[in-house]
Amino acid sequence: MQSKLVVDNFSLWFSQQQVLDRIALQIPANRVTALIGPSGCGKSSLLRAMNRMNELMLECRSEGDVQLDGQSIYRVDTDLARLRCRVGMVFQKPNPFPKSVYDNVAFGLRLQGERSHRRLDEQVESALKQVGLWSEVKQRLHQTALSLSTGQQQRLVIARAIALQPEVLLLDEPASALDPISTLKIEELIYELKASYTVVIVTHNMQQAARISDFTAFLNQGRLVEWGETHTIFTQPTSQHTEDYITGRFG
Amino acid sequence: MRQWWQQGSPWVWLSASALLLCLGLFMALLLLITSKGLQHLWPAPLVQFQLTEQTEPELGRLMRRQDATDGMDRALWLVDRGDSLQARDSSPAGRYLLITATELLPERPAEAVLVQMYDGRTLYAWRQPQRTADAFWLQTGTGEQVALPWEQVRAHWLPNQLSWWQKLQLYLQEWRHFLTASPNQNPGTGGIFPAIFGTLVMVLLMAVLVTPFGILAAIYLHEYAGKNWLTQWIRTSVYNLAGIPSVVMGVFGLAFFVYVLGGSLDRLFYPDQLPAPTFGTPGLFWAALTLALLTLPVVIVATEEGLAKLPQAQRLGSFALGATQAETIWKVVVPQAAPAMLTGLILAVARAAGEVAPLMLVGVVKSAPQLPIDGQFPYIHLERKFMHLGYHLYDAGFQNPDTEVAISLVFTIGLVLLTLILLLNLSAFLLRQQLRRKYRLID
Repeated sequence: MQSKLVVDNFSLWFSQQQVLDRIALQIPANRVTALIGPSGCGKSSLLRAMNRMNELMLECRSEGDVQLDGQSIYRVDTDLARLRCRVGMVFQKPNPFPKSVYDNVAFGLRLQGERSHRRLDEQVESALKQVGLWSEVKQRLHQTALSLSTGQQQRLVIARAIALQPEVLLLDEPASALDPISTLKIEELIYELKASYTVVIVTHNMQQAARISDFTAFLNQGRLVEWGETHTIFTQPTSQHTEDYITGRFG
Repeated sequence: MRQWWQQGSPWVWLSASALLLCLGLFMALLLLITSKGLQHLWPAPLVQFQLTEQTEPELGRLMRRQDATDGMDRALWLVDRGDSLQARDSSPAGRYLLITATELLPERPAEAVLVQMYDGRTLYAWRQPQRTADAFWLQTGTGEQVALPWEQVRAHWLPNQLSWWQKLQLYLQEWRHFLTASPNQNPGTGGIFPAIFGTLVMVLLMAVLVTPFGILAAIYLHEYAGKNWLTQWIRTSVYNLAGIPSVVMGVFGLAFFVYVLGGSLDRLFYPDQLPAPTFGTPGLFWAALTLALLTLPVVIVATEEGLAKLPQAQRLGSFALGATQAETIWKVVVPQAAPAMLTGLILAVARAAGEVAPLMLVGVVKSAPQLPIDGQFPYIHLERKFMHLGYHLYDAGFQNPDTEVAISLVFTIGLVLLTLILLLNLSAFLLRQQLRRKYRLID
């Protein structure tokens, strides 16, 4: 099985505080990998380390390396914009721009210099179809995206990310702000997405991790406790910590 | 009572009454300016008075009732006799007269006519029945008959014969004249168009200068600069710049913009005209630049507040789609912060349009024969001196020998200035509402 992303002895500090401690992890291609762990364990920071979003937030310092297809993304000459096109990201709360549905999806494409209306139309339609939003919004493509429901908005920002045809999709608790039905739709969507993308998802919800992921990594206090196939982690965890966490005894 | 006290009701009442007091004062200000300002041009009736049995009755306009002073039990009236036809420069001393109530004749003559002349004089006279094509026949107070050439007459009306509707029409006509004509030697009858125009051009030029600078400075301060003590110190300094007295800014504008910058421009581009200065003298551009400097902190502070209010998630969302910082700022941040920038502009315009003190040093004059924008190449004359409503108000009101006219004129010019600022703000406000609807912020 081929690894898309390799996290290699990666450590991260926000000002003086260490949030990740020598993480070593491999993200298999075209699979869903779930990062689980109690609040503040560093799973979101690890996710953001994979497209270098951490450095936008606070004073941060890192050691170790993350490789995408064998290429280090922490080199000085890394083109961050290009990297983030290859490794897309969706946040916990939907954050559509106050533009039309169409302009939201076309935002990244236009940044890439796509000017042809025909190709934009095609790619917007295809992205919206992939997230199952096309039939719901095709009548109001040019209305503001803020008029959509929260669940639709979240699918819209996923569409916005996959319109760029990234290789990896990072999802930071994408369903935690949604109602059960919207959550279900997102989960189905993630399941479909893994055919074409490598998906890494941070989640607080054990059932969700068990349902949708192929691999699971359990983090605690900045350390990777264990990782492996989801089925193994959930049935025969090697660490007592993992077992306690997934059975709800702590966290 | 004790319970009322303990539940904190006194604070509600205290704060509510403070608000009420503020509102009351604002209402009083607006009411006073509006009512006094609107009175000035309303056509007043003409009265007759006779000083002695032997003299002819004269025409005049009642200005106000003077209260009886010590030793006099009769009430006195101050009347305006108008300008005289012979003396070209009638001094205000001869124009006003205090008369007793007994000298005032009860009858208001129907044939009394008020003539506004192009040179700014106002005549009160009796209309004569003979009419000719080229002259207007009048009988003046001294009893002689004169023919006034029509080309000298700007307007005339019979104040005692007017119906309410005619008065209203005259009133509007006089307002139009006031707003569109140039001032003449008599400030009470001239127009204020150059002052309105000068104020407007200066304020718009200032807005054009201050907006890009202020917005770019705020963007750097909030989006690019590192969050450390130096940024914080610069931010505090910018906030404090807003407190510099405007007259000090005027001194700086004169010393730096006019003499240093203007002087250098003259030496570089207009050496053949020296020692007569072109740009090295107070003028429109320097005034606008000085006011831009004065209002810069306002724009920076307002813009930065708008940038700070924008959720971080919007920026991250843009970065995550492969946008660079510059693309994020121009495509996501600036459009959404535009309403805040317009708020800054509104505040800046309101402040700039009302400033007078610095302008007296850097370009405003009592009377400017040429407008700063006209049909002559290069059409916009940034080096020209200009008139300004605020300064015109001061000049017409307090440098005016004719104090009787000055009082009502001050309110009228004040009303015009207030309306102008209100209109400028209203247009910016409407634009802001439009943008707000377009870029409704996410909660």
